[in-house]
Amino acid sequence: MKCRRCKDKGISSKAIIFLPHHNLSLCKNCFGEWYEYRLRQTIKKTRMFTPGEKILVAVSGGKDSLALWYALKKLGYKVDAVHIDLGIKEKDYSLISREKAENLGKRIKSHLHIVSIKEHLGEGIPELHWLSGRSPCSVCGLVKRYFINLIAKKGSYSCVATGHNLDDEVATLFSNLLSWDVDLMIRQAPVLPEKKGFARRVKPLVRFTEKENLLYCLIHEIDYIREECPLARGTSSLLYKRLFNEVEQTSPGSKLRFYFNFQTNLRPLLPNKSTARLKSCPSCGQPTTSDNLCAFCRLKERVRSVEAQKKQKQLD
Amino acid sequence: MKVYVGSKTYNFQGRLKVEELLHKLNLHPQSNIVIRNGEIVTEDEYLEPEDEVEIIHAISGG
Repeated sequence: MKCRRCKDKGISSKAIIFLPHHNLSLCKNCFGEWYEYRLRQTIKKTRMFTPGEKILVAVSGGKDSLALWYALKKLGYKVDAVHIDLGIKEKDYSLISREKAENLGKRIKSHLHIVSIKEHLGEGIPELHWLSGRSPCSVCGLVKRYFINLIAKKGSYSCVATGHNLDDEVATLFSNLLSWDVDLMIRQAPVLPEKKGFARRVKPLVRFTEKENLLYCLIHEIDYIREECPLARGTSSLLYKRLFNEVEQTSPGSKLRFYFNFQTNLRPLLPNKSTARLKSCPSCGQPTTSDNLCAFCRLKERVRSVEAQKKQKQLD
Repeated sequence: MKVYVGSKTYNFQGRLKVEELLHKLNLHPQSNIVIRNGEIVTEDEYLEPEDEVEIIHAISGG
């Protein structure tokens, strides 16, 4: 298969990818250019941020967030990153993830904030999952949101950019649709404006599939963690992603249509019934809908009380 | 040909198209990238018996 862009210029070069949803075959160079042009256009068209703004990229060590960090830096945006060390010991998952983020930061000369959950809470995600009674993904989301927002506010960043891709967004929308969770559907958008105490959140990779992000990493030799999060095994999002890949195979462009037609045709019609008012947590000052401590501080209290009980038992 | 998928290794006899190999391994073309002797290839390419092939999975959960 030949690169269509090169063919248009009268050059013959071998394609490395065929994108059925764009009816486009691209060689290594043209794919890199296409990806960066599309990323810049997405940021501009959806008014995510301007080149002068200070951006904080949340990096996990996975392919999507590292591709985003690398591409934004290459395109000349003012970008730093934050990595949350989740304290997952199984298969050295957190250790390797952190190393991948640190290595890319050094390579592209971009500042990386590191937050260790274990240093702040005394426990990693697997233990917090048992202590809180929340699912691992729920407790992970809670602590990540808390620390990322904290770093964004302290560092005066205009917004937080995450590596959510088209497959992630389609799987989430489908999941919300299955339960007709209108409140969650309203909150699903490429740009979530700044709210009292919450930094603006943007998803610049929302037009790219996981495969496109992986390819961008491979052609730029971005080393990412290939291991799946050991706590995410069997999540329903994996099933929905497989399902939508089947749909996409027979009907190319379905994922883009499903997500973006929702954004233009349905989301504006949904009633924003959320009456929850944001208040400041009396302990940490971060925004919360609760009248008392925020969910993060409640988790912190729970850890403290369990540790106190353990010590008391040892003394007894 | 030797085919590496994550920590697993498979051996296949004869010439195969990339899309046939993915089908045999029950892997989806939408979520996998095939590397033949260090070069990324599209699904219409042929793989020869002496080729070393690596398949990288793109889908992550969570």
